[in-house]
Amino acid sequence: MIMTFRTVMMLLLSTCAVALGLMAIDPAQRIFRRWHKADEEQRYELEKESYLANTVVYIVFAIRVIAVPLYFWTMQSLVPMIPGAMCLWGVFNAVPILCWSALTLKFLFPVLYGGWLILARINNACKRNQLTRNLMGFYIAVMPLLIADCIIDLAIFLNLTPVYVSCCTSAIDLGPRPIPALIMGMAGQTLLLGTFLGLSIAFTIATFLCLRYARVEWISRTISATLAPTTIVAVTEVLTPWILQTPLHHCPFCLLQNTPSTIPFAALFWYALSCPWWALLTKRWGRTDGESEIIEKGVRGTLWITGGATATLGLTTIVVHLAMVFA
Amino acid sequence: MIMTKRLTKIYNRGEENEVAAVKGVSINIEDGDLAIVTGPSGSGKTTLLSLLGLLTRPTAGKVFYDDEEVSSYSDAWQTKLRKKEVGFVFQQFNLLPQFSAWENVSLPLLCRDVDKDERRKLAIGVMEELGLRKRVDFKVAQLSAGEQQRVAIARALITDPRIILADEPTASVDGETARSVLKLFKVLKEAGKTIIVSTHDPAIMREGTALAELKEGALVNYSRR
Repeated sequence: MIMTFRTVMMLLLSTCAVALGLMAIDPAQRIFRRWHKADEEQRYELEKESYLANTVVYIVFAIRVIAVPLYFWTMQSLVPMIPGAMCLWGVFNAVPILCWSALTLKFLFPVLYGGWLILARINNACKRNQLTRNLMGFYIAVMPLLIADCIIDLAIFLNLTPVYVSCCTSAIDLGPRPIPALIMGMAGQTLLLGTFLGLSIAFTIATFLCLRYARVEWISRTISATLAPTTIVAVTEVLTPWILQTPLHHCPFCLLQNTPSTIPFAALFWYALSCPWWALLTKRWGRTDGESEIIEKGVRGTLWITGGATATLGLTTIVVHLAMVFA
Repeated sequence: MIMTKRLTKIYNRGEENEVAAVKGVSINIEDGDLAIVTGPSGSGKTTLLSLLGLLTRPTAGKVFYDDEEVSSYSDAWQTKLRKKEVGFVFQQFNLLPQFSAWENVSLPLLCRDVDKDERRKLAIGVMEELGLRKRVDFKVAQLSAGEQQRVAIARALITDPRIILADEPTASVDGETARSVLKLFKVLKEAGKTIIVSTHDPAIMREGTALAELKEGALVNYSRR
C-alpha cells in the first residue's frame, strides 16, 4: 500500500460508507416491508425511524458522489510514485483489473446515488413523506452496488504498490484499431467530431424541449445513451490528439492532466447525460399522489434546464479549446 | 377552521394498561371561536388539545386545518405548521428557570433565526401588552404564579399564531390572575384568534362560543353559541 494523506482519506471514506451503508440496511428493509400495511400511529413510528435511516443513506451517497472526483485526484497524485506511470493510465495499470472496473463504476454508480438524493429531495418537500417506501426500496436495490463500489476502492488503495508499469504510450499508440480516425485519417476524425458535435447539439435541444413536450423525453434519453460512448470515442480519437497536438497520442488522461481546463467538460457532460435518466427515475418512483406529482414535475423541470445548460456549457468549453488549437 | 373527524387516541395499544383517552371525537371550531373543552379529570381534555395542536398522532380519525388534513403530515411538516400557526399555554407554565422572563417569552423566535436584539424588542412589546414591562429581566423564580402564567401566554403569542391552545390556564393561578387571563382571551378572540381552552373555570366557560364536554374520552355534548 502507498500511504499518503489522500490514499488514507480514500480508505477512510470507503470504510465509513460501508459501515454506514450496512447500518442503514436493517431499518430500510423494516420500513420498506411495513410502510404500506401500517396504520397512522405505526407509520409515525416508521417515519421517525426513517429520519435516521434517510440521514445515514444521505451521508453515504453524498460521500460516494464526492468520492468520485477525490478518487481521480488521489490517483493523479500517485503518478510520480509509480515507476513508469506518466498519467492515470499508468497508475491504473498498477492494479489493472480493479482500477479499470472501478473506472466504469465511477461513471455509472454516481448516477444511481444522485438519483436517490434527488428522490429524497422530493420526499422532503412532500408533506406526508409519501416516497419513504420507494426510497428505502431503492436503497435496498442499490446497496449491493454501493458495497461493491466501496470494497473495490478499498482493494485498490490497499493493493497499490510502486510496481513498474507500462503507460498509455505503449498501450494505445501502437498499432491501428478499427475506428474511423485511424482507418480514414483526418476525414474519419472530422466525421467522428461532426457526429459528436451533432449529437451534442441534438441532445441539448431535445433536453430543453423536454421542458415543454413530454414526448421528447425518450428522444433525449436515446441521444444520451448514444452520446455517452460517442463522447468517449471522440475524446479519445479526436479531441485528445487535436488539443494536445500529438497526432499519434490518444490518451484522454493525458488530455485531462496536461490541459486541466478540459476537466469541467468531463464533469458537465457527465451531469448533462445523467439528467434524462434521473428524470426517468423521478417520473417512475417520485410520484405517488397529486402532491408528489406537482413537486416531481418541478424537480424534473429543473433537471431538464440544468441538463440542457450543462450540455451547452460543456460543448462551449470543448469548442473553445478546439478554436484555440486552430487559432 | 379546525375540524376533527372521529378522532381517537389509544395509549399503550394492545397492552394490559391500554387506555382510550379520546374516542371518536368529531368537532368543528370556527375561526375566531373561544372554544371550551371541559370534563372531569381523566376525561381526555389534554389529549384532545395535544391532538388538535399536532403534538400527538391520533390512533384513528383526522384533524383538519382549513379543510387540509394535517394529522397525517410528516413530523417535519407538522413542526413547520405548529411553528407558524399554533401557540401553546400549559397548566404548569413550562418556563425555563435559568432564563429571564423576556428570554422565555422569546424562545419560539429562536427557531425562526431572529437575532437577539430583535427578539428582545419583540418580547418586550408583547410583555408590555400583558402588563409585564417591569418584569422583563426577572428570573422565573422571582415572578409570582400569575406573572409566570402571563409570561407563558406572552411566549405563546410572540409568534402571532392563528390558533392558541391553553390547557387549564387558570388552574394554577389565583382568582385575580384568572380574571386577567380571561380578559386577555377575550381581547385575543376579538382580534380574530382561535382559542381552544381546556378548563373547569365557570367564568371562562361562560365566555366560550363553542363548548365540548368530554366524559371518559367520548364527546357527550357539543354546542355552539
